[in-house]
Amino acid sequence: MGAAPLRYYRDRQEALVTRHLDGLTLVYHRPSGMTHIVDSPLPEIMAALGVEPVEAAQLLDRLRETYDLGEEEEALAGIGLHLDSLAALGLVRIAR
Amino acid sequence: MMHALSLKIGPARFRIGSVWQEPIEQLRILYHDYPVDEHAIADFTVRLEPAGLLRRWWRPSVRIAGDHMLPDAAPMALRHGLLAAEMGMNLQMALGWRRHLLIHASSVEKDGRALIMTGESGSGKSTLAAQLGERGWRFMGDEFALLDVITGSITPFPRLVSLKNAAIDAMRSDIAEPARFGPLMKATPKGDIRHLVPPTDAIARMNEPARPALLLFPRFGFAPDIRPVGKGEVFMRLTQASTNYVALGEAGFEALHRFTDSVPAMAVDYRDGAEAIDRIESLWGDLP
Repeated sequence: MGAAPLRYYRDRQEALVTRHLDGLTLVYHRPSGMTHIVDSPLPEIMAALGVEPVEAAQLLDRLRETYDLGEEEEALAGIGLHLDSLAALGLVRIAR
Repeated sequence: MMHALSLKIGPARFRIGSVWQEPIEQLRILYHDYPVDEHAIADFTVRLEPAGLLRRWWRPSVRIAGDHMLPDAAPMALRHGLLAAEMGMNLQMALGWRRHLLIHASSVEKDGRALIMTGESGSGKSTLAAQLGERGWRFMGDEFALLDVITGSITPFPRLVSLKNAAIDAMRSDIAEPARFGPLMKATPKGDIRHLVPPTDAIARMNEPARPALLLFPRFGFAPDIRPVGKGEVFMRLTQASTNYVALGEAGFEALHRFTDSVPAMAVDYRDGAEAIDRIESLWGDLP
């Protein structure tokens, strides 16, 4: 039996200050005091996440309501990679 | 400390003390027109101390000490004591100032609007600001642009201009008054250095801020070129050019975002000062 899929969530809205700059998104993460410059689709993924942990597949369903994301398997793999990079930055958390 | 001087540069008050008289006397002469208030409480203390027990007399070497220190700073020869004092003041600002976002940049003003120039050491930002200061602009500073995190304006910090190597002769040909130049210090850790006293109006108006209107990234020694710089790149480069961006936290983030979003930015490559000044004047004239 394979490992259960990871579940992701984000900090409360007050933890982040988001500003737009010429097509990019600046994120100030209050708990760490770090600034991040992120480009699409990372801001959209962060916006679709909530404080309740979800799997990448659930997040993909949410994003599909707004965006045309193409073929299922490829889109899921892409979102998984983006979630992992956001988690590495500390902007997204992985539920343990 | 046996010898000491208190002086105010822009919003910052310094007290500089030394066991040696010479560097303090040199500072006193060069900062003659700046406000002096021996009773004011200093924001920062800079001390020029002997580097070792005997180093006050035997091959005298200066160690820069103060409220904020770098542990590995190498001592300097006493004949470069004036430079040590200037480096000490810069170090205190860079490590300790919290009332503005400090951007490692020069700035000049015209009609209430500020031109800010940032770049690596050797980019020419300091010399260009000094030259513009002799050509109808108000010199605001050659080392730090102080961005007010509340109002978004630039506060002057017009300390002595630190001229290096070829810039020394370039400014000598611009300025007739020998009294505006400090002693020539040869072969310092930063090359040949000579300090220049800013123009009288730069000192008299050092409490007058200006709205930032144009940001330039000058680069000396490259084929002439002007190109816009994307706002994302500007934001990133300014976080790197700021000595206290991280320390200011969210206030610094908001101030830098507003600055980057509202101030146009251009990269200017040039091979000689006169050509750069023509281009800068032309860019300034094109501003809305």
